[in-house]
Amino acid sequence: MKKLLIDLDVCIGCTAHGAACNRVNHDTVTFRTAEVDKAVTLPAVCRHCEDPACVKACPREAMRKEEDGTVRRSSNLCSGCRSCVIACPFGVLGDVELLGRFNMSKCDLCHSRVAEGRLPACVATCPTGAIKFEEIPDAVEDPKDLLIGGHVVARNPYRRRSS
Amino acid sequence: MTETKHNICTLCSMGCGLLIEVNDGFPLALEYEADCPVSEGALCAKGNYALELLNHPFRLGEPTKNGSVIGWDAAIAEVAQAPCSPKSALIVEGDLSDEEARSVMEFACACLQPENVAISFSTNDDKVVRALNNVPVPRASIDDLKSSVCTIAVNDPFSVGPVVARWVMRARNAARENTLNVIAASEGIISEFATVKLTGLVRASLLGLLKKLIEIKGDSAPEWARAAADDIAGLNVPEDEAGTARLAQEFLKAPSAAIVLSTSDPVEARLAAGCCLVAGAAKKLFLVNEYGNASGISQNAVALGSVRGILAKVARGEIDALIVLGADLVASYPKTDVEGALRKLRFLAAGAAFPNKTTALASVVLPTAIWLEKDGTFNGMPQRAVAPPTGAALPYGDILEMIERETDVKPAHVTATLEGPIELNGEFMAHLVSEATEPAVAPAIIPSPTRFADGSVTDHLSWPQALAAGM
Repeated sequence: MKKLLIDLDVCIGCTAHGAACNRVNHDTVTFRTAEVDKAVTLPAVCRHCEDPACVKACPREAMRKEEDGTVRRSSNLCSGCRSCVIACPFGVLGDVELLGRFNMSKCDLCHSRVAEGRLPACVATCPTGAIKFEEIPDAVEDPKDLLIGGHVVARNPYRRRSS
Repeated sequence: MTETKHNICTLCSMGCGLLIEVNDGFPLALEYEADCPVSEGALCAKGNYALELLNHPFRLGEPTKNGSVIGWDAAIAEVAQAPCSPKSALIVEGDLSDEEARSVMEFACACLQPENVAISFSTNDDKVVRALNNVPVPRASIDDLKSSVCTIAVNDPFSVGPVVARWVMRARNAARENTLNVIAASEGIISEFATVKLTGLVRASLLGLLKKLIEIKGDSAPEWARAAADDIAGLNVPEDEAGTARLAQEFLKAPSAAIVLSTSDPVEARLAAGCCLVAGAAKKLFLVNEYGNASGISQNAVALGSVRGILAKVARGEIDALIVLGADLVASYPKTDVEGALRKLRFLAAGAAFPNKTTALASVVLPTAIWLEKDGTFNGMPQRAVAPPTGAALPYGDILEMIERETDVKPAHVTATLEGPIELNGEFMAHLVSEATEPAVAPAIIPSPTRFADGSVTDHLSWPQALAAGM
C-alpha cells in the first residue's frame, strides 16, 4: 500500500497542504500541522493504523478499515457521537464540533482522486515536494528514519539535516 | 459541456499554472497542472483558494451610490464629472494586465495630468523592479535555480512565493557541498535551512558582502567596483564579519550561484545586483514579487505619479476628486493618515472586488473583476478569462474606457519609454554606496493569507477570515 511520507528536510511549513485539503474535502481540514518547540512542523494526519482504535470505538460501524488499508468514515452512518475522536491516540480526528455536521472530516488519502489516477491533494500541492505518496517497504533499513509506526513516515523528525 | 481551461496564478510573481474545470462558463474545480515548468503542479495556500475569489458571497456585484444600487450608466455619469480637471486624480491597484497598464497610461495622458495618476504597489514592487530594470545584472531562470551551488535568499522569498522553495531546496539537497544562505532582518523558517545566516539590517549585511567581494576579488574586480572600493572600505558596516567572509568565499567559488530576492526596498535590490555583478559570470539574480505582474506593469506604464504624492496633495487640498480602482489605500498605507485625507475629498469613487475600508468611505462604489475573470497578458503570458465576472463587475480597463467615452476625450498616444541601461562606472558604485548608507526605511510587512501582520503564521485561514483580519 502507498503511504504518505513527509520529508522534513525540505518542509518549509507553508501550510499549503491544509489549504488543499480544505478545498478538496469541502471546508474541513483533515491534514493539520503541529509545531514542536517552534522549530519543526510535524504533520498531524490520520495514520491509518493497522489496528485502529477509532474503528473499535465506533458504535455504528461508521468507521471501517478498507481492504486497501485506509480507514474511512461513512457520513451516512455517523451519528456524530465523537467516540472516535476520544479513542484516537494521535488526536488527529480533531475538531469535535465539525464531526456533528456529518462532513468528511478525516483523511481518506483522497480516495476519489487516487481512483482517478491523481495524487492526493496535499501531495500534489506541496510546493517543495516534501509530502510524497509512495510505496514504502515493510522493512525499512534504518528504523531511526521512521517517525511513528503506521502510515506517516518522516526522516529526522526532530532535527533537519545539518550542513 | 465541461472543459478544462488553463490559467496562470497572479497572486505572486512565480506564475504557477492552474487547470480549471469549467462547465458552461461556471468554474467547477481547480486541478494541479503537473506539466507546468514553474511549479510542476505545486500550489501554495494562496493559489489553492484562487477559485474562492469567484462568486464569493462577499464580492461586490453592483455599482452603488451611498449604499443604494445604481446601474453602470448612472455610476459612470457620476464618476465622469471628476476627470479632466487639474484637481482630479486616479489610483489603480497593481494587479493589472499589461494591456490595462497601457489603458491607465492612455487615461493619464488623455484625461488627467500624468503626475495625478498612480499605480498602487503597497510593497514597493514597482520601485524594486525599476531599480533593477536598468542595471545589466543577469537574471536567473528556474533552471539556473535548480543548478545553483550557492543560493543566497534575501529576506524571506519562501513566504512571498512558496513555490520558489521547490527549486531552492532541490538545489540545496542535490549535493553535499551545495548551500542555502540567508540574509534577513530576523530569523524565520527559512533560517533553519541556512548554512550561513546574516541577521540584522539587510542593507548593512548586503553592503558588507559587497565590500568583502571587492576585497577578495582585488585587482580582478571590475574597474567600476574598484573605483569605489576606498569609499566602501571606509564605511563601518555592522555585520557578522566571519559569516560575511565565509559567504563571500562560497559565493565566489561556486560555479553557478543565485541570489533569490524578495524585498520592498529598491536599495537592497541594487546592492544584491551589485554583488552579482562584482562576483562575475554565472552569478544571477531571481526576483520574487508580491504582485504577480509588477514587471509587466512597470514596463508598460512609466512616468506616472506616486500614491504617496497624490495622498499628500489630497491632504493639502490640491486634489478634491479621486477615483480609486482596486486599491485599499487605508489598509495598504498604514503609516499615512489616509482616512483623514480621504475624508477631505469632495468626491471619492472606489472600485474593488471585495468591500474594504476605502470603499466604506466612497460615495460611489464600483465592482471590479479579478484576474480570473478577464483577458490580458499577465507575467508575459496571454490569458483568457475562465469565468464571467461576478455580478456586474468589470475589468479596470473597461471602466477607464467607459469614463473616457463619457468625458468624450480621445485616447492619447503614449510616447513615454523606459530609461536606458545604467553605465557601470565609479559613479554607479558611489551612488549605490551613498544610497545604502541613507537611513533605511523600516522593512514593510509583506502580508499573505497565511501570515498575519505581526509575523505569526496561521494553520488555516479561509478568505472570509482573512478579510475579517484585515489582510
